[in-house]
Amino acid sequence: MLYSPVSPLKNFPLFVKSLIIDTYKSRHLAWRLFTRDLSAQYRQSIFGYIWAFIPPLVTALTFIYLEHKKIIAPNIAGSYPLYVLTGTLLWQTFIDAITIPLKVMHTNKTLLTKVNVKKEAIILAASGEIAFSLILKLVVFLAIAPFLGLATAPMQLLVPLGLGTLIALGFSISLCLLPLSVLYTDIQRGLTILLNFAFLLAPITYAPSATQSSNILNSLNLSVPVIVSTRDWILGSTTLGPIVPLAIGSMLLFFIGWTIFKVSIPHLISRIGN
Amino acid sequence: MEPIIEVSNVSKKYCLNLKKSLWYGVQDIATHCLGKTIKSNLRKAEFFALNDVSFKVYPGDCIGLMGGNGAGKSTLLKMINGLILPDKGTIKVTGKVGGLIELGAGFNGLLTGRENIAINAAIIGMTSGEVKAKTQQIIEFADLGHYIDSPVQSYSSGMRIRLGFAIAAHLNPNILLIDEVLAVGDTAFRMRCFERLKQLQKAGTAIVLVSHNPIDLERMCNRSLLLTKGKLELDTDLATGLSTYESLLATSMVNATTTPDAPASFDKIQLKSNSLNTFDALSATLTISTTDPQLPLRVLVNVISPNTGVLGSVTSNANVVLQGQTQYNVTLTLPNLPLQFGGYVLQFWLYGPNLTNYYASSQPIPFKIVGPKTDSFGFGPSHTVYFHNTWTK
Repeated sequence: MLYSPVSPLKNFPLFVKSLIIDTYKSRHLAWRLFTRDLSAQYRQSIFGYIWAFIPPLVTALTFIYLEHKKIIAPNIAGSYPLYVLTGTLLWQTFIDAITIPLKVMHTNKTLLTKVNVKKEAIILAASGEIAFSLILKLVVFLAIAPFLGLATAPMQLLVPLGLGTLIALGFSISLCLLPLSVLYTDIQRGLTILLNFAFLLAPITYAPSATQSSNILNSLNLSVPVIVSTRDWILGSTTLGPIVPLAIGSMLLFFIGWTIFKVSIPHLISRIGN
Repeated sequence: MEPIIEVSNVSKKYCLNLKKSLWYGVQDIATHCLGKTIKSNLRKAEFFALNDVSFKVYPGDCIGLMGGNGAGKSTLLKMINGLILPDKGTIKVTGKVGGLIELGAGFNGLLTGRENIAINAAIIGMTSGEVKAKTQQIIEFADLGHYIDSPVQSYSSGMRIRLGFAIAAHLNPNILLIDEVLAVGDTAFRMRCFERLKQLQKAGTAIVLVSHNPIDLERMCNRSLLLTKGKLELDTDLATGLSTYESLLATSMVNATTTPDAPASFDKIQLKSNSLNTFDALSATLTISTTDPQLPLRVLVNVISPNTGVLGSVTSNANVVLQGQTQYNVTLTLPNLPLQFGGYVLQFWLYGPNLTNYYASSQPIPFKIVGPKTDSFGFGPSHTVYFHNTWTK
């Protein structure tokens, strides 16, 4: 290994190669970190894994209650509970993809500053946690949804693509923010507020309006079209939506986020180490 | 033989102001993300924690890295470990690097010792095959009995370190970096640690050891690097390096003071030689001047070790009368000096005839005992003072 003040991106092919090799080499550690955090997270808890799907369920139930009591009139064609449940599930997946990597980074901050581990392990461990949380939510969703009137539809085959895009998008936002969030606590605080705001703004508990495209704040939130398309597929729509460019764009963003993350780690350690 | 670590003209900047430091961090990240090289010039509130350091380490070397607090030892270890990057110069490292820096990094208190072995071993770079093969050895080395299946949060700090060391010591790295971790545990465990480190060293592992304990350094090292304020002051054999460092330490323990308007003072103090062997004679010449020739003067000298403090004092009134002149040239001889390998200082004090007539104390005068080598593993004399000894049966 050669350590120097020269940017690792100067030799870009070598950087990409090291990114791939390090990712492969870190799989074992990533698995250990993932299982450690998972088993430790719920060891001091009575309800255990139930906590993984309680937040979106409670959110969904709240809106279902509000609609049932006619406090809100969201004007949805079909089952409102199913609509809300699908939306909150997708939104929570997006939120997880943003917050879990930040959390995993935070948990392993001391470790990173003391031991030269493959940084990719953090990303892989975070992916594992996101996937785990998604699977739990899907199991619950699939157990409830048929009772709320969910029927099979051909476009549901595209749901994994939608979920993948959503996760890649959230994950890349997280990775881009990660260096700043390690240095400044403002990021964590600001992010919580911003995400709550974005949730209320996005057409998750209500139908997207016809003038959606004119809503500049929602059009800034790239997750909205992905969530809307994926929900529509689940609920039986046959339109494809703008998923293809969004999927490609998210993957590209994800790679950029990963690069920023990998490049920033030694600098973060030298600023926050000890 | 090819060097296993090659540090070339390495500098590292640090910033003491947190807000600025964070902002410089953002700048550095941006610089690297744009594919540019970090500039080595100092920004506001920055200083060089390491400045233009170069050295090479070969397989089987065991280097004692010495220096006071803030000398840059840990920064250097972190750079060799690849945790942080140099701001100038390069570091070339060949082979697997293991660190006994933060033992038990990544331990989770809720999980058992056994579970944590698997995690910590993976953290420090063992493959899953190695972990499986070595778990039993690690458990035996740590020797924690039934505690191994209890949550780590119920461990004492000593037990945590034992487990951490046991895991780290079974990594078999090419380079092992050790930062102040050998000072813990009971004697039996520490000796087991040393034995393990010696085994690794024999097998070709290069060891870089940071310690403030001269006995630990003596046990392990064959070479020394001395850092002062970020600069590499010495790169030499252990005897010279360690004794120099110890006399520096002792020097920092001692302050020169004078009483205002004192009638007498030291003009000059010189050692005949400041590098001696045990039982050599130490000889110092002093020039003392006084404004009052009628005043009887008295000189006292302390022999000081950084490890134990003042070892003993002797005074001039036993042999000489310092009265009747305005200047005296005095020679002090300490024959058969019973001090062993290490660094020491002398400090001279100047008094008048009575208890309360204190006039001056000198700057610390460092000297070192560079041989013969002592044995700190318990197979011969060691530590500070040599005692003549006979054993009968």
